[in-house]
Amino acid sequence: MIIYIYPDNTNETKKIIAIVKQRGFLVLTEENKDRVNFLQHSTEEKDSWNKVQGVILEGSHLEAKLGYLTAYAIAKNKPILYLIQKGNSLDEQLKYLEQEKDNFKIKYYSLKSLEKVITHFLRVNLQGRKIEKAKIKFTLRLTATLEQFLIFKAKQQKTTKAKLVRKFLEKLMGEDKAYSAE
Amino acid sequence: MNLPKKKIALFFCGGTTLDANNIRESTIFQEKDIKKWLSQFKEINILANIDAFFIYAGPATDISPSIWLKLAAEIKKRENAYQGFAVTSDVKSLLYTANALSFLLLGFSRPIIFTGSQIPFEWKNLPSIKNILKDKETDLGLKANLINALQLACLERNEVMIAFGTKVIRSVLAQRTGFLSLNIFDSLNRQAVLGNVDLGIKLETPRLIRGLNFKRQEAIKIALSCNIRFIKYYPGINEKIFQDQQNLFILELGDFTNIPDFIKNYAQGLTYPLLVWQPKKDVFTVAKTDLKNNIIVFDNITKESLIVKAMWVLGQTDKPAMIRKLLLENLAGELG
Repeated sequence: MIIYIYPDNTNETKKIIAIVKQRGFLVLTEENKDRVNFLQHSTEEKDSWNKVQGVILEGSHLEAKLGYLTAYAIAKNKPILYLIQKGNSLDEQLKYLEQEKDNFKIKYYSLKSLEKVITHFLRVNLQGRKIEKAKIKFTLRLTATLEQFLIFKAKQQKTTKAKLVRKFLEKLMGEDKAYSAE
Repeated sequence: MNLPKKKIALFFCGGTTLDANNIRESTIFQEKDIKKWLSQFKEINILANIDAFFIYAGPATDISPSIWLKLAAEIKKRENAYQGFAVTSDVKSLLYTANALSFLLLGFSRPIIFTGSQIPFEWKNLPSIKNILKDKETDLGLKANLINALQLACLERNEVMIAFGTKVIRSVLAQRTGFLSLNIFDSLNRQAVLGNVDLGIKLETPRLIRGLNFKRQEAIKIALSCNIRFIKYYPGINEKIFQDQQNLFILELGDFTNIPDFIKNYAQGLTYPLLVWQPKKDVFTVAKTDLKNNIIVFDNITKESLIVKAMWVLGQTDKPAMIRKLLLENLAGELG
C-alpha cells in the first residue's frame, strides 16, 4: 500500500515518514514522486492519485497547498489523516469538513503520541479498505520445467497460477529493503 | 487562524455533474440547483472564497455566441472584484466557449480556467449508466477537475486555460483527443501544454504575453458575428455556396492538398478573404496564403480557434483590410 505524505521536509514529517515505513507501507513524497518506480506504468493513464491508498498531511504550518491536497484527496475518496501538533491552530473550514466527510480525520499530536495516532489510522482506515485489484496485463514466457512447478504449487495451495505468481512477487517486494527505502 | 484564501468567481455553463452514479441529484439544471450542488461539494471552500453564478445548463448543441457574450460580460464586470475565474462547461462545447472568452477578453488581467464533467446532459434520462462505466477506472465527474481549476484560478497568471485530467492547456491551442478517459484534451503544440497535475499542479511553460501587436485594445468590443460559413471540401461541392457575399467563408481542405481553381476564382470576388483551414501534415504539401487573390491559409491553428476568431473579427469590424490584418495577427497565442 502507498501512502502520500506532505510536506516531507520538516522534522515532524521525517518522523511520520519513518513510522509509516516501519509499518510496511510504501511512502510517496514530493521528494521522491518523480522517480518512484512503483508508480510507473505503460498501459494506464498516469494519475498518481489512483495508486495512492491513503494521505497523511502535516498541517501545523498553514500553506495553500495543504488546502488543495485536502480538497483533492477528499474528492478522490482517499482516507486522509490531517495532523496538527498540539498548540497549533486549525482552519475553521477544516473542522467543519471533518464533520461532513467520513474519510477525513483531524488529529492533534505530541511527539509522544505521534506513533500511536499514525498506527491507528493505518490500521483502522486503510487496512480495512478494499485490496488493490490486479488490472495490468503482463505476459510471461516460462520454460516447461517452470510451468510444471507452477502447476504443482498452484494445485497444492488450491489457488491459480496467476495468484501464486502475484503472491511470490508481493513477498519479494516486502523483503526488498532497497525498494522500501525509495 | 485560517489558510489564506483568494476570492474566486465560479460560473456554471454546463458540465456540472459531480457524481456519475447520481446524475440527477448532482447536476445543476437551473439556477436554484446551485445551493444543493454546493452542499455536496463543501471541500472547495478550503481552496478559496467562492461565489457561484449560473449562466447556462442545457445541451451542448444549444450553446451559442449569445451564451459566450453573456459569460464574457459577466466576467468582465467582475474583473476587479475577484482574483480569478473558473468556468464549468459540457466538454463538447468547452473548446468553443474557451476560445470565445480568449478573444472576447483579450488583455484580461485575471486567470480564467475552464473545466467540466464528462457526463453529458443527455445521460440524465438514461435508466442506468452502469454499462457505460463498468470498465472505467476514470472518474467522469467534475470534482477533481474543478479543484484543479479553482487552484489554478488562484495563481497570478492571466490566461485562459483548460484544466482537465492531469493536464493544463492553453485554450486557444487545445484539441479534443479522447473520450471517456482521464485526459480528453491535448495539443500538438508542446508549448500549449502549460503544466501537469500530479499530486500538485506544476506550470512549466512561461506566461503568454498577449496583445503586444494589437494596438486597438481600447476599442475591443464584446461582440461576435455569426456571418461565418464553415465548409468541408468534397469533390462535386456546389459552387453556389460561395456566392453569398454576406459571409466569411472558412474552407476545410481535409486530405486535399490544393485549393480547386473554381474556388480560387470565387475567392477573388468575395468581400471578405477566403480562409482555408489546412492543419499541418508531415507528408502532404499545403496550400499557400495568396493575399492578392484574397485567400488566407491557416495551418497552425485549431478549427475551433479559427471559427471563433473569425466570429470575433467580424464582430469588431466590417472593413476587409482590417479583417485581414486581425486574422493574420497572433492575438491570443492562437497561431502556435
